[in-house]
Amino acid sequence: MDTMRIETTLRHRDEVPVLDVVGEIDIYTTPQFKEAVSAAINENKPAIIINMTQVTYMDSSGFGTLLSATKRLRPLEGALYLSGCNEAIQRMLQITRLNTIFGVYETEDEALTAAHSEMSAAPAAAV
Amino acid sequence: MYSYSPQPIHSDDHSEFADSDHLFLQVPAMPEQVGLVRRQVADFTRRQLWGVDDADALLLAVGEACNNAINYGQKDVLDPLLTVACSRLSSDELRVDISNQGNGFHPDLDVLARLPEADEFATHGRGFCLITALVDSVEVLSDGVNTTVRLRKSRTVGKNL
Repeated sequence: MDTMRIETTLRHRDEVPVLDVVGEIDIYTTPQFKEAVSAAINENKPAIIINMTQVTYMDSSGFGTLLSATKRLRPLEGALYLSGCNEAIQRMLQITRLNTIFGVYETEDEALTAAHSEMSAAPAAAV
Repeated sequence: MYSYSPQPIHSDDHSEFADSDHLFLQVPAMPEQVGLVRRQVADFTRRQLWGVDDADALLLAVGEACNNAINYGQKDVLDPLLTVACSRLSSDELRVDISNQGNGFHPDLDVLARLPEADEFATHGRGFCLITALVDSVEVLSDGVNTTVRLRKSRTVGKNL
């Protein structure tokens, strides 16, 4: 039986939560991915970076999780920032036009810069 | 006409037959099996010398079709099965049939193929849109007992490999 799962690690850069994800995000691993994203959101920060560099596959169930997360961040004037998506994932984001919803960046540094820029422009989030 | 000399592989939880032009897989219709299906289909496209872009597109479409089969099919079936059959139709064209027991799809393909607006936060409804965008043709065949999603894709990259 295929037992491949994903691994997730939450860390911080300049007070911005960064979720490192390794593996495949699909119908099987989405519950685990969802839990990890939810933990990041619970830190009550307006920006979350998801480091996708080591994600080899993501299907529409993963997009559903990202959309739910974005919906939860909206009251904080917050957003998700994806970094290092491979070409296949970028293609899917374009087909579904979700690249207009999430910030999609080549590198984590670029995502961090964009997150800081948005955070400085947005009103302070209520804690 | 293709000669078909399948090499059977059996384990406790899945059946598989493969030769150079075909791949047949039957697994429990469970989320944990979709990764296995994708890897087998990826191996099959690699044997056909397909480029990464075309192989990835087909793989994503197959994955989405498997998700649909598991999520929406076989509600009343005990130990439901997911069947995936890949065939090489020509040097540049593959067909993949994904079958489940039950009615796995909405009968109106136009409804399914409609992409939610980008600013909608609907967490479902994008799978079938992706399938139609990634392959050349999609047919949904149902006999009232089983539903098959038939995908056809031609190679667009590296045709002269």
